[in-house]
Amino acid sequence: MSPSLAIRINAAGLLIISGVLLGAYYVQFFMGEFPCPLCLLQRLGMLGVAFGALLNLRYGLRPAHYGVSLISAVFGACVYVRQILLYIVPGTGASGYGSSVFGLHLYTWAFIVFSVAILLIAIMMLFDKQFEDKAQTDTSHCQTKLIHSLSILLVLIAAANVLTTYLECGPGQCPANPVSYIELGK
Amino acid sequence: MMSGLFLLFAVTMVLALYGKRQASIGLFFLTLILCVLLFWHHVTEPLNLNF
Repeated sequence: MSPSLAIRINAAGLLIISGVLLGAYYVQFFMGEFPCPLCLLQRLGMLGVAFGALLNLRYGLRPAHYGVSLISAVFGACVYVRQILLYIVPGTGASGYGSSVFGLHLYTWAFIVFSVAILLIAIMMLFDKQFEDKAQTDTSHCQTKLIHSLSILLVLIAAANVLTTYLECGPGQCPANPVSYIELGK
Repeated sequence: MMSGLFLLFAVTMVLALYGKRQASIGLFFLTLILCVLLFWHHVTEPLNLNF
């Protein structure tokens, strides 16, 4: 795999993760769902996966950058396991947190994203050539602008999460089943 | 508390964008450790199950 192809795949990954995080905002504001603490931890895991891709785009392709994404994806998947265990026992009255999107709960979609990310990152790391040929990682002006725009978008998503999470949870611990924005109700 | 983790992540990404690679990776791992600690708090919370 050539370094330029690997750069494009990383940019696509960054775009997809940004889309997923924006989709979570759609569900939060247009479907009236409040993200639970575990849901917010999964968002942090997604940001971590995207951060690894951002490092690859900004500083060139390195195994350490893929490692950052991989660790974040494993963390996000662990959070999913805890969340599914909350609702795994039949007959306990709990059918999952929030409404479903395309037949699956959002945290199940998050697990699919984390699993695919782990698989793709492992596949990407099989191709050594991308790490050897530093000269080919030079990107065009158009690509550089695109990468910069994607990076700014990711920073804005993280900053927006700071605000909305503060409004929902305040300075303390988030409630297990949030039903309103605590800070707006004061 | 949770918003603080997102703030740390935002700062991590800004550092990465402004050429501070080592600092951003260091801050990333600090944030990750804090995330794991918060996750641990939720993992060890007893499940409210009735049979």
